[in-house]
Amino acid sequence: MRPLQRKGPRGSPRIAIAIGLYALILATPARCASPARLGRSVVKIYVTLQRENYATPWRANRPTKGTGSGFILRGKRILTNAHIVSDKRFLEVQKNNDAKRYVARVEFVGHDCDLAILRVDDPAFFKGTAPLRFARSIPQLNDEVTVLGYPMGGNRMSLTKGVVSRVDYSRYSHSGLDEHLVLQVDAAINPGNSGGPVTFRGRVVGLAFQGIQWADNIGYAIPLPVIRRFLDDVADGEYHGYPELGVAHFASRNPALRSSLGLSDAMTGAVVYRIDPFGSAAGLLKPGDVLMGIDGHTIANDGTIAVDGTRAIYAELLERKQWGDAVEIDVWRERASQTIRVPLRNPPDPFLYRNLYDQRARYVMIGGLVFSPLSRPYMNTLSRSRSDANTRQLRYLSEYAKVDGPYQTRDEFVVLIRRLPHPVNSYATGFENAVLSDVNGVHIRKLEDVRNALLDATNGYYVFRFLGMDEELVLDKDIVDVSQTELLRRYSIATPSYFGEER
Amino acid sequence: MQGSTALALLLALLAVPLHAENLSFENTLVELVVTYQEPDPFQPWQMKPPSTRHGFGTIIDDGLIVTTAKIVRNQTLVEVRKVRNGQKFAATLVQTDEQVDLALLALDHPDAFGPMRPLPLATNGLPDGPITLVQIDSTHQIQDGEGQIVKVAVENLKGSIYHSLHYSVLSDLTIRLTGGPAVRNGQLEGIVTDYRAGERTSAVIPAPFVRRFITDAETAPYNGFGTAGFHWRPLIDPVKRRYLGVSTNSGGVLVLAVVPGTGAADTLQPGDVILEWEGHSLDDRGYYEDATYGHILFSHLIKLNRMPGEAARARIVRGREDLVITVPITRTDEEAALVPENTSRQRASYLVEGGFVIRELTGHYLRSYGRDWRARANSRLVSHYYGRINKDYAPGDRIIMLIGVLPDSINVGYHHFSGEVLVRVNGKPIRNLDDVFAIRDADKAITSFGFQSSPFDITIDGQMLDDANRRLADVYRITDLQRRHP
Repeated sequence: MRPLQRKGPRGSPRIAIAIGLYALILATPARCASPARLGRSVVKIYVTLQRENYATPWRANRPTKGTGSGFILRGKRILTNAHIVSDKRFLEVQKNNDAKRYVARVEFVGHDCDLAILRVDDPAFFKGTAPLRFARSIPQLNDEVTVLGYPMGGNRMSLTKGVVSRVDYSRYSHSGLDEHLVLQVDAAINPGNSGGPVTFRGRVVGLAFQGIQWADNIGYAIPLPVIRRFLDDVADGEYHGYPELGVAHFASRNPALRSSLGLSDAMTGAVVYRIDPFGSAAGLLKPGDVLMGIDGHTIANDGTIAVDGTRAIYAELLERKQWGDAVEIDVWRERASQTIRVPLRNPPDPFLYRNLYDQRARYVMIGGLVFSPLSRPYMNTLSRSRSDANTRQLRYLSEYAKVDGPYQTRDEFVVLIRRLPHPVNSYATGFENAVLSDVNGVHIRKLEDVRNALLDATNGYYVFRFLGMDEELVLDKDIVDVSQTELLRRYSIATPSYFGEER
Repeated sequence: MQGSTALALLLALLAVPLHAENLSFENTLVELVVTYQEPDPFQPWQMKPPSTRHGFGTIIDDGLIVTTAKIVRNQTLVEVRKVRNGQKFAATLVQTDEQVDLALLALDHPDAFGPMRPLPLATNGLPDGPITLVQIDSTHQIQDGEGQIVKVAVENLKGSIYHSLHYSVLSDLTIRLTGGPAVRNGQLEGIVTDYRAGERTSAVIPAPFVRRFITDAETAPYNGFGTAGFHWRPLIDPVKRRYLGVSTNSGGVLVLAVVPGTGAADTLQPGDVILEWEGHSLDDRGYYEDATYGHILFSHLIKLNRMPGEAARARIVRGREDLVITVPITRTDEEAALVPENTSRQRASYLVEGGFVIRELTGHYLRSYGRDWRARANSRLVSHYYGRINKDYAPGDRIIMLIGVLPDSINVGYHHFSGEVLVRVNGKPIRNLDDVFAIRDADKAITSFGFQSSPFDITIDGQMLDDANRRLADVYRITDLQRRHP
């Protein structure tokens, strides 16, 4: 019995994990509208993957294997979860009742929505398959849905049934950060089910993707609107992801607040509290603005709008937008209303700490000191209860860098993640997990700056200063220079740095 | 309070032989039953439920008892129980000092207590040779056990932020409660402040600290123990020594930072290397050879040998030049910090205005989140506590925070605000809670609150405020809507 190849990040704020290991295994025969027909297009995915090691970024982790599910769409594509194929090294797919496995490749992957599209180049693979078709809309509560896939407990395709118990917003544990619509069903969804279709009356309404540890009969599926948005996004040959508005708001319920803003009783809206400097609204909206409407929908005092017969946070409208679209926001500002068009084209945000996949960890090693940018996977390698001031500062920066301002002087936080003991750095203790401020008087905005700052030693010394620390770290340039090769050999480091693709 | 002559007489008392001494401790050693109440950091207007701790005390003068500060911390009642006697006698706290963990108690009715045999303080105690630990066992009998001083070191003990010299005494006696005496030749050599059962080792505060504390406590004002006010690091790294222009074998430690408002603030600079303190050469880890205690950290010279108000001479290297400087010693004042520790767990000042509960950040507040406080408390507040952010502050600056909002009709829409750092009230910047009080006094009300997270200030209705405050006090049973620093 083999569990799915991955679980969600340990200790993530929400308890949702990708298909928890702990749900019961259902082994009932199918009783569904033509399961045989559906089954022809539900495939099993075999993956060999290799995670990055953010604590020792010059090393590769041991490859592991796993399986998941996927299903065939029109255009000879296979839709599955991003978390099944992330960090993949080798990928194969297999149809039900077919002995042969076919090599597959990832065409598109959306880590923020946990979806991926695979291609199989061998046309023989698609022989006898029929693409699954999407329903027109998402099912209602209590509608009976069917989950197909290849979960633990056997090798052949499995089918489970349940009802839609809830349609809600929830965090997608694959990225650890993004929240989108989810379909909660009480059908058994187990490790290996991930990527398999959830169908209603023979049409796809969702894609099974995560469960909750220690909970019974709760399985989550990515619902149709999120899938459709993903497919639309990649239609131009590139996945752009969800645009971010970058607005934190609070309810305009307080009478004193309302009167200070000049809001009459009839006017409704939510008050902008903070603008994310990397969001699309930066420079267009500002704290104190009242968001009264978005694309023609009236925003209530609690920030919700009426959409599809239910109330949802106004940001749900952005769920349907593509990067490059725009929203029209009706704003009450300085006791006058105006409509502000916000193009949704936010820049990449280096201070948004998502889980990272399909990229190598960047680092530089000098004199046995290994520097790497602050990242969520690196934070995950540190125990949450570590008591040293440097680690607490990293936690703070990962949460407040954009709110309190430390981001302004940096493109990323460069962290001394490890000291590889060597006579050259014997006394350089107590600096681990500190954030580099400058080297030889050169301010460090990003990892590459370390390389440049080392070109100019200070009177024959390399002098490192760290954010919020009084003590300097001083290395002798000549000793560092002659030790570098020896350090690489001693700690089996193939290359002293990896800066990624030049930015 | 006894006069100093009485104390001098007492100190002059001759030692009695130790043999079979436990009988004679009947009128010297007492058990303390302390009822205490700690403040509730989250609801600063009230105290936590009362509780009880036990410890030992030693009679050192007629009606005077010495024990540790932590035993009597936040006491609401101290009762003194005699050996082999259930009788309890009330005592009053004369002085307590968390920085050396000592406290002095006076019996309310010494005459009723019966015979007392005060234990004289050792005059020239040496930190080696056998030493006897004395306590009262669970059957109310005197119990003693011989021990050896196995270590003399300047260190901070579990739960304390203060460095101080301690003896480590290894003994077969399992210490039941702390606060009892360590005795040699019928004299008090120290007070047991901590016991590590796994190592069978007691930490003992040496007699010179007890002597200075008692002498100081006898006459108001209490001066306490001093500090020079700087942070330093060992300077062993030969590369760093060369970089700083200090020879490899001259010893000396590196000054990292000076504390605003202390003697060092005007006399020392980050980057200075201290070679000598009061004529003692420091090695590269900050140790010197003490005539009595041997190889110990030089901070002992500041803490015990100097009184606040005095000054100390130091030889330093600054910018490759030798200098002799004089550093004033001031009373160690944890209140000077941006985030005071509040080890003595004093009640915090606070303000409840329109349901907004405002107070200053302290170490005690953060630790109240429990064992896992570093992970559970807000990471911004924790980082402030560790001093990694906002390092440049002026004396008197504090982190003012909103603990939370007590829901009421005046503050609807704001109930989710908590753990925020308050930086403006009524549109004016604030540095500490006193500023908040001053603005409230001037404006008669606080109607707008600005947090670090946003330039947008939230407002409440000033017209409704008096009624709301009355209602909040009533509904949430808040006895006082504010408490100011005395």
